[in-house]
Amino acid sequence: MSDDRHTGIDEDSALVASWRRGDISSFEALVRKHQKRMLNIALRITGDYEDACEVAQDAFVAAYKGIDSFRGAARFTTWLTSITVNLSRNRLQQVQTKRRNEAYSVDTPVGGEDCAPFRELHCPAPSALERLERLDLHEKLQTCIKTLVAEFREAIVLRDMHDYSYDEMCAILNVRQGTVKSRLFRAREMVKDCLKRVVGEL
Amino acid sequence: MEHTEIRRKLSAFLDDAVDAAEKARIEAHLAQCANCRRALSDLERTVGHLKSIPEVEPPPWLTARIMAHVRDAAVPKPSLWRRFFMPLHLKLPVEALAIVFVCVTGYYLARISAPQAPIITSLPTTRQEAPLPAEPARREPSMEAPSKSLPSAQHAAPVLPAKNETRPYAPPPPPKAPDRPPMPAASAPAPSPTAPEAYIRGGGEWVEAGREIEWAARRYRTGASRASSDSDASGEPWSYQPERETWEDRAARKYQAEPPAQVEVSLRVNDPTGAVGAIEDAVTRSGGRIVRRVYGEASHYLVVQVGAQDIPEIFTMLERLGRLQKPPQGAVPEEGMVELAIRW
Repeated sequence: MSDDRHTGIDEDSALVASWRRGDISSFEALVRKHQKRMLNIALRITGDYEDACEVAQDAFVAAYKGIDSFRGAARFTTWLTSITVNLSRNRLQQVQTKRRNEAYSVDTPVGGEDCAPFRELHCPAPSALERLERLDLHEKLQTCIKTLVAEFREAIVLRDMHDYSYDEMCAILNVRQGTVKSRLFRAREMVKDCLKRVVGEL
Repeated sequence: MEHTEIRRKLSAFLDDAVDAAEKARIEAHLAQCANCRRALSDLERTVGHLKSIPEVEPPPWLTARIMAHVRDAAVPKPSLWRRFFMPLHLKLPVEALAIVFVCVTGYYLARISAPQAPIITSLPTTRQEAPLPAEPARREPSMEAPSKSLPSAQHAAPVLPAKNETRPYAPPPPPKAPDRPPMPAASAPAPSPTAPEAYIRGGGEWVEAGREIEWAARRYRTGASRASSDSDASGEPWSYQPERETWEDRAARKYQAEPPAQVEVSLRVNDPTGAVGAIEDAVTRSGGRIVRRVYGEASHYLVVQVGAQDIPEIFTMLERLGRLQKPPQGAVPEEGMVELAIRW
């Protein structure tokens, strides 16, 4: 994490200004600088590496096209992160909807591996726990994060994984600080309970 | 504070996101409550585990792919208008060529689908020459005694062959006396070599027939001699002189003996130009043969050869098109061929 987020100085302002003047190499420099963070945010929200790569790519392209809407009120990373989070949320919803449709499709055989069609309805805990026991802690953590709804995932990812401030989270998620605190509290409690079930002792 | 309320604020307390008074109250409670201290400890360890998750590296191709997409997006896409009409240096010639093609095709279609007779505006004296030689060519076996109705049937054959076979038409009217020189038997016009074929071909070939009619009329006016015709008659279709000459003499005498009945009517229509097609269609449907058209800007003039018995039908159809001023009673003969002039 760069410390400029906490100093109030946007160290990307020079590159952004150069990019606004038509220097595409400045934009490429911004891509190289921020692509890893955007990829990891997208990865923790979507839970899939390929989806995360596409989200990161789409986020930068959207930023390039929408640079006129960036007025400099927030830092460039905050603006770019909000694009990435929104695209990640959209991708997650698409994937969940697709899985839901496949789960209830008449073409899908009922009672397959891990009773897939009814995993979330009837037997979520046992099968999830059985899988989690075979994974190491990080994988178990990622799996616990996957059990969260999108809003809680975003709060956990931004605050505990990427150290965004509450104010930045408010700007990125476009919610009030009380909402951020509430989501963060509930997300942490759910992950803690999940880890206790999986690992036993924290 | 209740334990539940304290534990609800532990997350923000951990991030130092509570005000000082609330922080003091939470710390006071934690000093007394072991369960809440344990909850805070679990929360700290959970957050610690989350922070310990390593970041993944982006694929090496990610930057190149992003920049490729960005460069594609940087190229301005032409607008819908430009995509349809640009680049002009390519599309204008193509569009102009298409317009020319459409015009030529439309003109060609209009020509081949036009009515049977040509528009003759400068040939008032020759409109009946061409059909004359058609008779011997078609009726050679019966040349010795041609019936009175045969020539007219042959005249109408290109227009309505099936209908006219059974219609006892009178012979076509002879030319007007002032319009042409008298037709002596000895100097009868030489038959057109191609006029019979033109009429045999049918109404669709009216352009060629008109050209041949004009050719025959020119020969007639200049008084082409029989000798010249004989000199180059070897092997020509019209070299069979005795029969043709006999028929022509007879036809000339017959035409001179029976002047055509001429009837003129005027029609008042709302759109004179637009009514041209309908009027021509009406007269041809009624069995008439258009022999002359004079279409001006203000008025139009159409001359039709038609059997007298078909005149009422033509009048009925013309009355549907506009206000028809009929000729007085008795002006229209009851039989024979009539040259009907329609003005509108």
